Amino acid sequence: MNYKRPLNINPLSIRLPITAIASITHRLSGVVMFLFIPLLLWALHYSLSSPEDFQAIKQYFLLPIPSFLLWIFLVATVFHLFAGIRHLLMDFHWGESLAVARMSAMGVFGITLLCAILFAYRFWM
Amino acid sequence: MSVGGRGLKDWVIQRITAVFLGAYFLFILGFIFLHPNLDFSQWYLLFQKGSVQLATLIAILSLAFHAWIGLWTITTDYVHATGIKLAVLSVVGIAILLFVVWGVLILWQ
Repeated sequence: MNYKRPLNINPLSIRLPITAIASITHRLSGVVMFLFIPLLLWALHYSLSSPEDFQAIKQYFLLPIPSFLLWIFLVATVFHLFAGIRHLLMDFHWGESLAVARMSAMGVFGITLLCAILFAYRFWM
Repeated sequence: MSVGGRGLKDWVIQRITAVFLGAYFLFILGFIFLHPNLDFSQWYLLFQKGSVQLATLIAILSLAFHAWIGLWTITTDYVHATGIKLAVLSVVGIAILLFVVWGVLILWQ
């Protein structure tokens, strides 16, 4: 191997196509969702325990940091869901051309952004 | 699990669990949106329904498979040293098992 060959291994200097960004974000959102499972199970446990605990959980998720975490989880879930639907459609050969793939990727980001704004409005307005 | 010649099986399981999980998530989200000012009895009674308990149980199991396949894929992509990979997958696998048991316990608490 020619060890003097030019090397560019700085990922931040490489411009990825939007389809690639959609792909890696799909993976990242999946990991994020997985990390939220303990919190969600804990919340579910208390929400089903008693009326007092249910109200306590409701109040808890109105606090700044918990509501922000919940928002993060919902945005990640929405993205993962719609990127996943796009994935399934491509499995059935819909949208495999570059032009459509780019548009569907943009669509997924667009829907996610809309939901992110919707949830933010719902949570904090 | 998922070592050697199981590509197609994992591919199918990932898609089937994905469809079920998507439907289940939309069901729960829809319920919450259709019940503004949700109270304990509405939420509790929802999870007392046999159909909801069954769907939730399937969702928990689906999530276990879906998450395992996803995380195995990610680990295989980024962790190449066999020892570390085994350690990471062990932690992930045990975590998933714990989540399944915990989830089932919550469902029938």
